[in-house]
Amino acid sequence: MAPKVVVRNLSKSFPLRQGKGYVKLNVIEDLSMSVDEKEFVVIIGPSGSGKTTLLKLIDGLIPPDSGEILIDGTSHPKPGPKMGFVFQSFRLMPWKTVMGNVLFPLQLNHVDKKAASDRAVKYITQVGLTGFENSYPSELSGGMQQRVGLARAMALEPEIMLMDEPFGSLDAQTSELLQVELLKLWQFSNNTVIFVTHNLDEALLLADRILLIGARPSRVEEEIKVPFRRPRWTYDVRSEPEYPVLRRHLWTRLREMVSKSGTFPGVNVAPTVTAPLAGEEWTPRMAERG
Amino acid sequence: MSVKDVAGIRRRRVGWATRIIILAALIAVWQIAALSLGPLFLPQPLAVVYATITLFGNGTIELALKQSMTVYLIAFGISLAIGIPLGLVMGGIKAVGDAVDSFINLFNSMPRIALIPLMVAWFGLGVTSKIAIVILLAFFPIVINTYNGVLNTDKDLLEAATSFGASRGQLFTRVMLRAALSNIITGIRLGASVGILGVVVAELFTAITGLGGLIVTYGNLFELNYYFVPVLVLSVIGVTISEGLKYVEKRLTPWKQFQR
Repeated sequence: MAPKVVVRNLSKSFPLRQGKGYVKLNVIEDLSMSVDEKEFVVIIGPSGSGKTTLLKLIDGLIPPDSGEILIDGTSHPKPGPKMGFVFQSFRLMPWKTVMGNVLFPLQLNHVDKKAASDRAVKYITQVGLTGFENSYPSELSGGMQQRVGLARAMALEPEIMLMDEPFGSLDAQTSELLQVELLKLWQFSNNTVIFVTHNLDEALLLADRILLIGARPSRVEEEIKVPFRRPRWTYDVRSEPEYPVLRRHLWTRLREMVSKSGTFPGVNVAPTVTAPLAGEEWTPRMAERG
Repeated sequence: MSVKDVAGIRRRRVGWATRIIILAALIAVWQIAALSLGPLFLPQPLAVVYATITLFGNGTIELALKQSMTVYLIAFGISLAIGIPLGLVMGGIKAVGDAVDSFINLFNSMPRIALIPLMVAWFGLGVTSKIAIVILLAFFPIVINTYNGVLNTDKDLLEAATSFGASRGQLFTRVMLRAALSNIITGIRLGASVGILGVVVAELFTAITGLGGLIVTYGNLFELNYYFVPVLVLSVIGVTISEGLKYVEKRLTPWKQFQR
């Protein structure tokens, strides 16, 4: 089977203000990866490792410095209905109701009015927001807002879903709930998903395959197949024997990477790593404590 | 009905009661001051009431109101018709915005009342000149707020719309315009109230007509009881316009009600 998304030797840098001028901050350097059709790939890496940048590059929102991105064998991806983006900060239009927000991408792409409203209703139902069609985002909780974000991206019926830490700003309970719901939704839609996170449990629950990307400038450091059988909401994945082994491994690798990071090109920043306190879960953000 | 609604209603009643008490106190202070200063300095409230009845009865106010409102509506209409599209084009096309922005700011920072003699020199003392003066005052807040509204559209929302395949045109009409709406209405409200000021100033400095004209005439004659009538009429017009636009804003931006 031909891969759905191929990324070859991708590099991207941004200007970084430095004194009076700018230096080049290499965010992604020589990154290659591929994603199969209908595969659920989770990209995990320390914060600031260019995960969001990678998604934007794949979507075609920003151009790469060098390298190539092929979607179905075609290079130079353009943003559009083929790919649906779910953002960490939701990014709903505050002046539109739930219904209006879900309809919005369909209207942009000139989907026939009747078909659009049928689809919007279908996906609003699927994410469990029936009855909230006429609410404004500001009236909804964070979890509900992200449900709208999900419905909006899915209503485009995209072949590829790009998800940028979609549950990262939600509380633990809500995000676990939404992870399971995403699994169910994905089971029915069966599109290709590229999901960015730095939450290990989220990665292990969702992924067919985990791509571990390193600290800036990032590339794929390791690839891990996640062996748990699907559907995964029917049993407790965490009590599988491989679960703690995989988690431990990911945890160690991430810690190594963070200890190497913290150095900008041309900037002297001592690497700062804090060991997790007793009983505390390690998160990559801890590295930022200094 | 929820608990919050009930509390809201009670708060509103308290608000009205407080307002009425303050109004009564103001009238009382006015009455005392008028008695001690004499009618040449301050007419009694009741004298103003009689003057109001007289001036409304003999058609003086009606005529003046017609003159003032004609100038106001034409000038405000022109300010809107040019100001909003110009602000939108400036916000939508970066090159235009960059080019025009500094000139708009220059004019806006200038004490524009200083340009009234110029307007008189160009347009004479008649209606045209008055309209020009009102436009001079009302136009800039409208352009500037429209421009800033479009310019300050949330970049994240633009990026989201782009990712769903929005064209440049769609970004402008479907995102920027909507995001700017509340700023545009603020601009209209500022323009409307400065416009009222403009009408009075224009009527003072050019041929004496309208409500501003009545103010000068009665002021010069020291007929302060009559003088207060056009002043009060102008205040009522100002409040009505600004409250009306607040209502329009509420209707056009229903999602704002929940962003407290």
